[in-house]
Amino acid sequence: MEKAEQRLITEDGRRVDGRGLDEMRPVKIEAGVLDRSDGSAYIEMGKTKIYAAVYGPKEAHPRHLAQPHKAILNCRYHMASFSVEGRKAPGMTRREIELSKVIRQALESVVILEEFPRSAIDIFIEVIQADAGTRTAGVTAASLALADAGIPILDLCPGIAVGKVEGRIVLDPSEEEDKKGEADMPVAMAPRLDSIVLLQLNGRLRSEEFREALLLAKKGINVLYELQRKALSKKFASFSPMDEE
Amino acid sequence: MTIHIRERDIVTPGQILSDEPRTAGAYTYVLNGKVYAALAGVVQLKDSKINILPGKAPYKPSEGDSVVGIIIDSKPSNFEVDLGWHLVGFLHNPRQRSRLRLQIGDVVYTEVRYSGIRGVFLEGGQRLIKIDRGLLIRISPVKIPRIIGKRGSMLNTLTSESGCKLYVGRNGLIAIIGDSPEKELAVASAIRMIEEETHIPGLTERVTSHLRKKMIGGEIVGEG
Repeated sequence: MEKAEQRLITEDGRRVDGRGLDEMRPVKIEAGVLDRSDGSAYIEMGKTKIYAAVYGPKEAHPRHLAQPHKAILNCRYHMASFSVEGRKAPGMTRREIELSKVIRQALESVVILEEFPRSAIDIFIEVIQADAGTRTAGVTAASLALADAGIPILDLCPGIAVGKVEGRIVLDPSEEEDKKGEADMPVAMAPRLDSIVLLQLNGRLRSEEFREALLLAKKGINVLYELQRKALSKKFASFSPMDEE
Repeated sequence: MTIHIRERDIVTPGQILSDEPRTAGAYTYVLNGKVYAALAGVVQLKDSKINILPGKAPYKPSEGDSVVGIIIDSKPSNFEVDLGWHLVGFLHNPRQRSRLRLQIGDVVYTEVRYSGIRGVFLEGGQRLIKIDRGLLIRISPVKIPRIIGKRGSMLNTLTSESGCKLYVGRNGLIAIIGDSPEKELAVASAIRMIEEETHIPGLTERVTSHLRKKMIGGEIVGEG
């Protein structure tokens, strides 16, 4: 049976797209890409392409949702109808609603909401092209967009998925590996605080495999974190503030 | 006491700044006795505090701030004032104490009396000024210190060169009152210039020449 199937990992530890087991896809991260938003970011991980935009803080609507001691966070994760093979119906699917909630909860743990009582912060994550790892790339872009908007956060939170493919733990699985693999585990962290803000697991991992996967995820997260910081610092390269009055 | 950064360093959120909680200044937070950055920006060390000067940030009111706002609602005992962005301030009805008559749509210049868990309350007494003409513009609140300049130098340049009166609100709203629309628009374009070119040296000179060039139709101060 194995003969008929195409192997996803060769004997010398190379994957279908030529990457090693612990290598991620080529990444591109930019901050401040959308003019009309208060803060924005763009991320490309291989073929996955995502925009994130932040609006606010602004008045919370409906008014009864406003909290007197802190801001509320609204998050919308949405895949464009042209983002996948074939056409996706443009409305919010069950999966998108769930991911919006998961991403919102991840970001709620890093945003200092107490700074803006009675207001709301809106986060929009729009997947332009989907090729696995969209929720983690979405968190990465959204946290960068928050920092770009000047909203106080405890830490940026980059995210990456790890998977189990043909019995081996791999970093940043592609769409094909995700579909045919045995397990998929998206992880997002606040690296400086060393805390996990998002962790899901599809499939099964043995406990030592889980530990290995988490270590591998941390490695990828640190790479993404540096890229996020670079994207943010780039905006300040020519910035030398005048003294205040 | 260890400070991990230097003046003018660029920091990103989560970056450790110091081991001494007392040095925590603007846009920083303290966790487990250490000070971290909460925003991306440039470090400023002032009065033994570490502040971060952000490139972009929403307005956060503090007591004593001068603000410009637009009255959006009238209640039996107070007015609701839109301070731009996400904030609505409450202005206790000043009618009993002064001759000032206010209604929805009016622009006022006043001070923040209290800002906290109960909301934002504005000074309704002597400090309250109603602005009944002129041009109202909105800029990013973090750029307001640059509009004012060192000891008010930039503001002085703007007013003396144009002859306009400026009400600068910390919330990013600025009311420009001049005797002709040309002058007001000239000041508005100069303010836009300051907002965009904050980081380029020699700003005051450029603002001066920009204002002189723009004020065709108005009286030109100096020989240009």
